[in-house]
Amino acid sequence: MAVDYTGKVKVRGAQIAEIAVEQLYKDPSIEKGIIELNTGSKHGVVKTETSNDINEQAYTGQALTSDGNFTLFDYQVNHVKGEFKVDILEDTLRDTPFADDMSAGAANIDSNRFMQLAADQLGSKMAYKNQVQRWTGIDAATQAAIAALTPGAGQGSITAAMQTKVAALTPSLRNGWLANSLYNAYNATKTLGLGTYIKVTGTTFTSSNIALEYSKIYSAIPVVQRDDMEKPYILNAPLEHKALIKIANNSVGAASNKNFLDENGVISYNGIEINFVQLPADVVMGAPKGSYALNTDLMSDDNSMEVGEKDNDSDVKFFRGITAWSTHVARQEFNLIYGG
Amino acid sequence: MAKEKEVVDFVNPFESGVSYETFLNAIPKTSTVEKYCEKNLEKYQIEWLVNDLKHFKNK
Repeated sequence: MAVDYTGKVKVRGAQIAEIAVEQLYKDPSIEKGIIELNTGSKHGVVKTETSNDINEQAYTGQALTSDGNFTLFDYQVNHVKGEFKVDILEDTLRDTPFADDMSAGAANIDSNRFMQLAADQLGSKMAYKNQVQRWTGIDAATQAAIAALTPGAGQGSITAAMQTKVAALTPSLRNGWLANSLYNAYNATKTLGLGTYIKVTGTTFTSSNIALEYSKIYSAIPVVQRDDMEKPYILNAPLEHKALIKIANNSVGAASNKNFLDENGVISYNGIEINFVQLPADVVMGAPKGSYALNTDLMSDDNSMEVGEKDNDSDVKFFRGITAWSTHVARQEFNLIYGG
Repeated sequence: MAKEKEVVDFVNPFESGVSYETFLNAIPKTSTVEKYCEKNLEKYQIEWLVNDLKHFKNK
């Protein structure tokens, strides 16, 4: 409950203004529109997907048999509500530089500077944890269900390696896009089971093989989606890939070849943008822009912290943030999972 | 003249719907995954398969 303030030093002078805070990776997926952000989505809201087909037949002048279909199916947004909460007692700060802005009197232990720092940092960490959960979150039930799937090498079955990766994930309150891609009921019959995705068999990425492996991924992208300008195909890759790609691009030797384009920090392979996110090692998820969706009532819930007195007769402060959101995967038949 | 012994169909693990259990059961006891697949699959496919089967067997 108390603040864990280790390595205190005897204060002999003023504190250097800037405090070395944690560095957290900021996922650009929402900012760049790679993720479809559905704000204002209340729990229970319905979203509809559609696809259709229509076929040409020889003209006869007579009444023809219908040849085509128009398919729609709904899914319901089921938010999971969660809470982040930390209690803090500032008494520990009395012999630290934060005491400078505590008012005189033994009862006064509030440091405004510390409270602001704590709210900022805890809010940032909360947003970061939500961000990670959106990609690799998995609830215990889904984790067990994926472990129980029958693995196989062919399309339409999960690889045993992916089952190992999923088993190693730390269970969370909700499913992120990876878990939802692998196991869902986003189909016309609402049947839970292995998701629909294009499987690209995977291996361990190194700077030596990354270009070859991305060529396999590129080849597996459906041809229409590969060239679609309105919803361009995006590859979501683990953060480590950025370094492997840069090392591969800067390799020395007669066979050296820049396989990846790096323009102002935007890295692409044969025109397909690569978005670096918190996916497990050796897993790449590809989809047309906007196919992975985040449903939330209010986006600012992501890092909003409420601060207050825990009890009337104590000095403990609470920091709490409440969130309600869910992820969804649309247009599943065009999405690919390398290593899936 | 006696008929030649019928060649057993190769069970391709990369075919949709073929589980690892079905594939492993199709391999004769005297053979290995590598030997069973060598004439029917590419080298990189066999390497990948052997690696993935390690995860399957460790489940």
